Amino acid sequence: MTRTAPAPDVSTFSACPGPSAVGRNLPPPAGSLGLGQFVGRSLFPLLALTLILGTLLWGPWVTLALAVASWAVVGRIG
Amino acid sequence: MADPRRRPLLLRPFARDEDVHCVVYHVVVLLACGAAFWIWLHPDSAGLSGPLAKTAFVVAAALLLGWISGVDVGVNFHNHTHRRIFRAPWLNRWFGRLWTFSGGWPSFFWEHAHVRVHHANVMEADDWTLPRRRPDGRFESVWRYCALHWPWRYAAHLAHDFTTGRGGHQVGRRALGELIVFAFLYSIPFWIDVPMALCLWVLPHFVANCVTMGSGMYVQHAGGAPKSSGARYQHSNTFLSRFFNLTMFNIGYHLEHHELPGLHWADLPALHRRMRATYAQEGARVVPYGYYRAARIVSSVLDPDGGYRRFTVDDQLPEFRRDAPHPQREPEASARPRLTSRSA
Repeated sequence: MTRTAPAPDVSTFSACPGPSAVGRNLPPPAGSLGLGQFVGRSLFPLLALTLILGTLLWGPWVTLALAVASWAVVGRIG
Repeated sequence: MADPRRRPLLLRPFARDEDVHCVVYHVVVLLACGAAFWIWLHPDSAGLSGPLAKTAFVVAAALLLGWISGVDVGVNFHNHTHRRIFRAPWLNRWFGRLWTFSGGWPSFFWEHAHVRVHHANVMEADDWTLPRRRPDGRFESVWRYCALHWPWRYAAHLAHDFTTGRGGHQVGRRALGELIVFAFLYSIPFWIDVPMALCLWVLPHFVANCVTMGSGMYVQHAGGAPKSSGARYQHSNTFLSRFFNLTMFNIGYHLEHHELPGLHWADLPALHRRMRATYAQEGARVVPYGYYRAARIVSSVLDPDGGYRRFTVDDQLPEFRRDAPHPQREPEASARPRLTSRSA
């Protein structure tokens, strides 16, 4: 998709330089608003919300086991 | 450039379309907190029948909420401090306040620590956000850093900065005002149920700051060197795990981020591709995985020195290692004209 908004003002912070010419000339990222991107970017909070709400179904011990397993798995692949 | 009025109504407040992801992330974090609170207040519906079951739920919720609220501030809000996500200044200011209170921070305080202290002085002596150095130059143990830095060192340094004027004119007055806003927002769960607030609000924030953000800050710069040492591209580590960067707003491109802090997070992979040859030539620090695995490696209990060495030396991608044969590398590479955010 194409970028549709003007570059915002980043001069609020003196320690934070604005985008260089390199930055401005970068190609726009593809598919930046697709459903997969939404799920991907928010994967961890969606996972946390699912596990917490899942306590209503499977109880606190399964939630704890799944939370620990999530940490272990992401600690290996992330 | 397209007319902003032609954008879909929901996207018009945003500076860039991709910034919608940041808001969605934060809203889901708040929903997860709310869900945990609801379950605490309705224990029978989730089988929290006794103290053990309740403890299991609290530990699980602390791990999950601490994880995501740490990322929500340390990565998600972090992007906002460099490049505002909304077009309206008032919306940026107020959404920022509502963004960080669920991570245990007043937005102005985190912004000060990150932008004015960390980015302006990365790896230098004035950068008090990073781990302290051992006599041999290595970072202190990640365990020590995570245990001592938040909130203890942060509080002492922030108090010093705000009372001595580091951060600009009337910074102390503004900090006080922001602290009052934060105190009001942060106290909301306490009005509902004090034990719930301690277990499902304060405890997750301990995990968010000490574990999630603490280990993240550690691995972003472990093994690096400041620019003043002459090593141009060694101040930060870059992490190339695709899974990690897709789920973490490209924060793995950390060298790129420090080189151009104002560049939008969605553009960081492209900047990496463009600069990759230069980074390889100058021995930048790049590993193939993400922060999570890096944190697991450096926090090795049985072999802490080995874990630190593995992350900072052994696991660096061969293409970028300084001892790797490279046809274009020159002895005085750091003296050549370089791409910088101001000179490019």
